[in-house]
Amino acid sequence: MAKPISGSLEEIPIGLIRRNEDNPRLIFRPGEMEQLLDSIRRYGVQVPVTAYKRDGEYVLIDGERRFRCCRKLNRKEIPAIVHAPPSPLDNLLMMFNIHSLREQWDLLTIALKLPDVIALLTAELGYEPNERQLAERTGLARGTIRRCRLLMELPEHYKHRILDELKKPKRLQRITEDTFIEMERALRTVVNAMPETVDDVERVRDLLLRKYERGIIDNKVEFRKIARIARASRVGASPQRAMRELTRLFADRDYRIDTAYSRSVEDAYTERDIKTTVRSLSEQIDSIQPSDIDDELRSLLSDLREQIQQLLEQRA
Amino acid sequence: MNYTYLPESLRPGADILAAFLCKNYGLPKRGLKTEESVDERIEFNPTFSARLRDHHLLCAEVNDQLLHPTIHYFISECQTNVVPVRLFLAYPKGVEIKDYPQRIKIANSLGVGVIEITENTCRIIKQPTSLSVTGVRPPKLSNYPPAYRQSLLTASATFTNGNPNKACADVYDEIENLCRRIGLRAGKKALFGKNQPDWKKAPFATIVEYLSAHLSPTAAGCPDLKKTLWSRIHGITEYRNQSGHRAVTNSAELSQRDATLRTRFESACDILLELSDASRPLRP
Repeated sequence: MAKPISGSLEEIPIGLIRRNEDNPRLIFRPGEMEQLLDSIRRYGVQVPVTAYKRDGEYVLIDGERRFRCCRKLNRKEIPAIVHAPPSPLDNLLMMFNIHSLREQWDLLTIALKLPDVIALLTAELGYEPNERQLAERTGLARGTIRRCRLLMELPEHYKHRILDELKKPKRLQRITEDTFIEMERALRTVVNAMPETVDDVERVRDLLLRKYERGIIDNKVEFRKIARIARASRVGASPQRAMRELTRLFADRDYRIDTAYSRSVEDAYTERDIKTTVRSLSEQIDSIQPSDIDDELRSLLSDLREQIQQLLEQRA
Repeated sequence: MNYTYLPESLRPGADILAAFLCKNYGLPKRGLKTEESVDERIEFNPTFSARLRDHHLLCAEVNDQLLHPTIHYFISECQTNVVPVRLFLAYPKGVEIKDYPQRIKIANSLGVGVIEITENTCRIIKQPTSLSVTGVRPPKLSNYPPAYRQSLLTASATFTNGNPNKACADVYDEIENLCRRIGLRAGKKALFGKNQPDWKKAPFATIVEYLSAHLSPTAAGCPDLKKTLWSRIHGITEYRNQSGHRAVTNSAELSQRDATLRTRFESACDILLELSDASRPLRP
């Protein structure tokens, strides 16, 4: 069994820190760096970096982003856990352990704490913080905050249900935060576009969840089709038919989203997609010079011409 | 260039920008510093910085979104600490910048410049003004009588566009003219004896001294035209005829000069407001 590695906590001079050439992290995305930069400027380095000492300098094992931000912020020192110099293998293993085993918080745990943050910020500012302010202060992306808000607004028993699910290993989780987020977004669209089809949101939510558990809805992304049905009029499909299908979908425990979709709006969406593709193709063809056409493209275009010709003749 | 913070994806563009700045500002290659402190009080090192011959600090920050929260902090600190920085925000051409027109508008209002980095050179979209003068407190125009709003707006713009001396002189002009009008109006109301100064031609200091000594707030029906206000106005007569300051020889002097002019400008605007309010009963 490997010997546990321990280190001492020190404030080390930024000027003596060197990055670790073996750091598996190769990409430093500008947006993420700025979030961290702002967070460190406001609250300082809350988690020490990890380094080892070699020839009077400190080589980073963990915390290159924090180190870079501190340099940018003109800081002179950074808190660090300083280890004895590791062997090359230990160096790599330590970094892999630190980086690959670190996980983001579960979204629901953030969503459950967010109301407290909002309440405290409201007290500090004198008004409720908007999404941008919340993102700046929490270091969360605005998209994450929007997703959290959807979870925050769920009735309590659903939150407990997600928490129970989160306790399971990832591979065994069935009803996740994403399931609720997809379902809530779809339900909101329906409530806005066709409110007559939802007599009781809670009842509909329960029914959809049962369908999901039983496999009648086999993928959480399928919930998006519910929103597409509700927006039937946008693609020129019959709103009356869409309303009928949604009403049945929200009443019949065995009725599938796929069936409701194909019976109401699928053709209209397909037609819209074809039109978009044709317009785009037409623009691209316009930009082609005859000299640019090679044999393969010529053959493909001929096939397409024949297909279109047949289709138009059949219709005639 | 030796970058620490700048994400790798932005480094080739930053190299192009460095060459552009050196060429356009006549900087020696070693004159352009990379991610180094520009002022020990400010916790932010811009991507590039260099000292210009006019003692301003030229700074450039490379970023793919033009603005970010920490750059706002840097700008605000430069303004607060009167650091004479001319800041460019530079972005690589072709990146999608969210709310681009809005961000350009914000950059404009902050007095920072904007540069677009193309494949092998750069294009200046907007020139920066010195952050040491853009931090001036602008007069709240709605508090002033309409007659002064246009000239104050112009003076404010003159200040932030880099000519603080002229801006101060413009506000002093308004104060002087108002003092002369107060003297004339009070004279017409027979509030003074003989030996009045020539209200149109006498030196400004003489006008203020006479008003302070002979204009009774009670008799004029202007209780706020007190000696303390006249003393403050007398204080500015010393600066009134200064058409310019002596040339500065380093950044510290430039910072001190801008700080002084900022205080003078803000104070002059305050005096003009108080004087116009206090002399209201004398208006015809």
